[in-house]
Amino acid sequence: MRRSILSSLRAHVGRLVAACLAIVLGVGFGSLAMIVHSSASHGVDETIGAQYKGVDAVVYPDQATISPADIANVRKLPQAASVITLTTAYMEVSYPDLVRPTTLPIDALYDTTHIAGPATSSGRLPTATNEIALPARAAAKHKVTVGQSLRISSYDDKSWNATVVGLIDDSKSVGTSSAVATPAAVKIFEPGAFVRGIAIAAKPGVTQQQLADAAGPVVSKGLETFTGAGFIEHEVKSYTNGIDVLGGVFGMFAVIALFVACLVISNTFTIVIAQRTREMALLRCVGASRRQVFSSVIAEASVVGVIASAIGVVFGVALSALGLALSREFDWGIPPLPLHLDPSSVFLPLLLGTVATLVAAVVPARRATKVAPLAALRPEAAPAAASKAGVLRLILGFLLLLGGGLLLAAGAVSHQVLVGVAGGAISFLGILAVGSLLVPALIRVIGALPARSGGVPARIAVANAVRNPKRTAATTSALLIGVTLISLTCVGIASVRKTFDVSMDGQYPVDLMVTTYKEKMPASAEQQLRDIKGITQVVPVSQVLVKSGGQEVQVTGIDPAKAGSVIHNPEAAAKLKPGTALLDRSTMIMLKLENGSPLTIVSGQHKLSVTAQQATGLDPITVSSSDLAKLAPTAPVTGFWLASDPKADGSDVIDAVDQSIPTVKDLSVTGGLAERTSYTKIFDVLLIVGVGLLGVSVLIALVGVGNTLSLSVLERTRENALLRAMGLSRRQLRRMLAVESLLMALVAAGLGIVLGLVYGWTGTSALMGGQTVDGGVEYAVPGTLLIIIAAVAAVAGLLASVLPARRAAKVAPAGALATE
Amino acid sequence: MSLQTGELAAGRLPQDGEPRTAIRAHELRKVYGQGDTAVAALDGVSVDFGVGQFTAIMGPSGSGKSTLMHCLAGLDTPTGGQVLLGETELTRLPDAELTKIRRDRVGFVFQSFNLLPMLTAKDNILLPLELGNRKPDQQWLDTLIDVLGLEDRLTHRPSELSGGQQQRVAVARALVGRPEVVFADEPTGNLDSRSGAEVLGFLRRSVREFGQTVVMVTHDPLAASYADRVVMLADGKLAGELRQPTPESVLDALRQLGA
Repeated sequence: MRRSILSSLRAHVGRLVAACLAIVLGVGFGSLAMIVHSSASHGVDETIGAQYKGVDAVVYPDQATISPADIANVRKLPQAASVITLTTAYMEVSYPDLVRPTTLPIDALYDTTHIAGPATSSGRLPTATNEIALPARAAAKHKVTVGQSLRISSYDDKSWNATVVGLIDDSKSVGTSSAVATPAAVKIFEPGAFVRGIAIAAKPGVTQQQLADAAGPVVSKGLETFTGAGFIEHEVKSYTNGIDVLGGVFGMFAVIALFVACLVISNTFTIVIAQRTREMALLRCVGASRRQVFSSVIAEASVVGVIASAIGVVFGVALSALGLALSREFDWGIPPLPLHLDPSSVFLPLLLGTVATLVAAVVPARRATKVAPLAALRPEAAPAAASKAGVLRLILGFLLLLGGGLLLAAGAVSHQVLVGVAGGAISFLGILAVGSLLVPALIRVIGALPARSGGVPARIAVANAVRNPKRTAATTSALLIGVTLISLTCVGIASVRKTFDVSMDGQYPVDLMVTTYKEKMPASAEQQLRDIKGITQVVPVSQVLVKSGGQEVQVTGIDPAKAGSVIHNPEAAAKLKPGTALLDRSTMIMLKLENGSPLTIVSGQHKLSVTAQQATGLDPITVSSSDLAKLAPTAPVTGFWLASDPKADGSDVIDAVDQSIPTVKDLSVTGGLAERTSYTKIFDVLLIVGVGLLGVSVLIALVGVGNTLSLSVLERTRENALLRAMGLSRRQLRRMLAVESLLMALVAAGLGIVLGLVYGWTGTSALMGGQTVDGGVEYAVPGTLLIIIAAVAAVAGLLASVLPARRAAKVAPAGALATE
Repeated sequence: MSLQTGELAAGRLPQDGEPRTAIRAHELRKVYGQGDTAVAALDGVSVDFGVGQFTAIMGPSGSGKSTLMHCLAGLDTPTGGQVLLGETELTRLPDAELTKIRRDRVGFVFQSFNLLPMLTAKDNILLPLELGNRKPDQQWLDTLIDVLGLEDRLTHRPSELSGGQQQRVAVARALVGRPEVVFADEPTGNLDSRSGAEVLGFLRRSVREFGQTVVMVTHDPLAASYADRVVMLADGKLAGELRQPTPESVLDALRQLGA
């Protein structure tokens, strides 16, 4: 039997290559995910471990802050070899390339005989109170070099000049790092500097646990005491939580990719076995038992599975190494990660890939055992007669579809995400189960046009595409899963984003509000702002402080004709007209007003009577500029409201506005743009990551389409030869296969996009409903993206037909005459 | 009615009273393999097939009769020599031209019927016309369907037809485009004797009544006896011919070849 299996593998190696490709991609992707995850976790472990080297116990502020008494008590511990306090002063620094100061945390240096401390990459550590060392990355960003003097100021407006004597090596640290100064300097900068923790090194012979046990009781309640190892674990967790979530997402996508690969493999084996019916029957004829036939197929599958999975793991390792090397080239604010291979990230994908292949081969193998020995003696049986879908399966499918649909609707209406996800998954299983009915029907519908106008080749292509409903359904299922998930991701993200946008427009209707309270706006300020790339509208505003109802409030005046261009809430913008004041909620409450209440504002001898209306996200009281003129005829321009181009990079725009109008030292920049930018970035990254990851499963599915086609081509050699003998040109034959492939791809894409819309919308409703201020959810149709998805699927479908079509076109027309 | 070995000399012009030539092979050679392993399936065969004639090609297994037909029909490319279909020299045509010729100027009937399983009988019949975007001649189509007795079977798929019915559909498909030559490769090989006789009768009728040219490869003397002329082939060479054959005369001739 073994010889027969091996020779069969050799004989059919070509047919199995495509199946292997699906496994290689799935496993490669899975091991990539696992290796990157383990490398990242390992890297963080190493970095944080190095940072706290020599620390045997840590006292950490939790419910309470660390007091001088706590420090004194710890110092008295006989088990402690060294006790250091980790102190940080939060200062502002004036970098020469910035017009206004920015925040800089400064850590105090400490005794590093027992416990690791910061190291410099150039220069030296500070020794005098007028010296500091800057983190190397920040220094590089702001072009500060060793020897330069920087102005350091505290929040209570004291300032010092400090010389940069060295740069701290932060190439391996995670996140932004602090500058360092001597403890004396930190004390001067901020006498009540924040104590981040007490780190203790143990005397020889004292364990970390003994030290922590000793330190715990002597410090105030509400402080947490860790052993050194425990603290490192705690710190690592705070970083790796994110990595683990990401790893989970990666893992999920890898499982999807593997599932799709499973479908492709199963389909391939089914076809290969259908074509080898005679061979199987011959085995039975010469005395092989059903069991032996079954195990020969399974043995074949396991060889294929192991080899392909091994190639996949190698592929994944290579890809990870490449990815990690590339990540070093880009400045992503993360330390360089060395490739770290742990056994699980190599063997788990290998095992999963092999098991997936075996599982996928079970059904085809069972089918192989059902071949009657007599089949070997019969003349050429009609090649793979059209299979009929099982009635039971269809009924089950419709039940799943119905039940899942109801659950999905319930989840969407009641805003229960889990119910919605369960409903989505169940209904999708239903769709897959009825695929053998649904997909051929859709192919007939879509195929009606080419069948009518495309001549015989197109008609035959449509007929070919639906002649084996199960095979067609299985082939398209693989693609359907990928396309559905991608469309779902696109639609979901677009809808959530639109919901956010609408909600943001309500809460923060103005992109950017630039104001100075104490200083004079220069005349050129408006032009300076207009010159910033990404700023589309600049409307000046004037602000005065007035008394109203005994309270002092700020009143802002803006030209109502121009206000609409910077206020993204048309309702609020429309209300702003002479005679009306827009008040924010807290001002309404403070002044005990309701919508429509009369409001009188007094400023010196001037008096203004208006009607109060509530509006969110504007200044405390916003009136038309003509009303403000009545109140303060000489009010100067104190600020501007800006609108930005939604396509521009928000953080660049904010940075540019922050750095504008250098003559004003105290410039306040607020507005919705910062928040909008941060979530836009998150959504963009999510979209790219999601689509990229799911793209792998689409790739696998397309391999499957090509695979099915090429196996069908083998099966239809005689038919194709006959068509050639009848006068079908090579081009027509290639076109015939292209149409068949295109039909399958388009049906999968179309169905996938429709399902993606349904799932995306219901998912958004389940996820976002009840989260927004007014409970409203926006449903978006990312038209361009969906069209791109369909186009990519169509083009890929055509590409998938290229190789099978080439092979088909090689068939000699005389082949039709040859007798078997 | 007698065996006239070697009478057909190369390049012989048709003489008065002989029918016009529908297809002609001249010094046709087909070699498979190279060097020591080369085998000549056809070794300089020259033969003419007259318009409106039913010719059978016979010979023992391996005599090259199928190769000859493949080369005549433009399904295979000979190693040397020429094939003339009417005025067209087939041997030097590129694949696209050959495809067109197969589509528009010749018809085929195969041993194993070779109908497309997903098309109905009618669609199978019309296939060659539709491949060439030609409109069927409705009257001719009706005549064929009537003569072949296929009225009730037109909407059936091949799997719902008996072997004889399938082969009658195949005959209709071969004739529907009024090709210059119909090639039949063992058309009765997979049929019982009654269905076989029916199909051969149709082929002969198409020659007598409609002036169709038919070239048939067979090893069955009874089938060959339906032809007007039998061409004998042995070891890739022409081994004689027979006019107005009977099963007995064919059998005799075959025996002589074997001897």
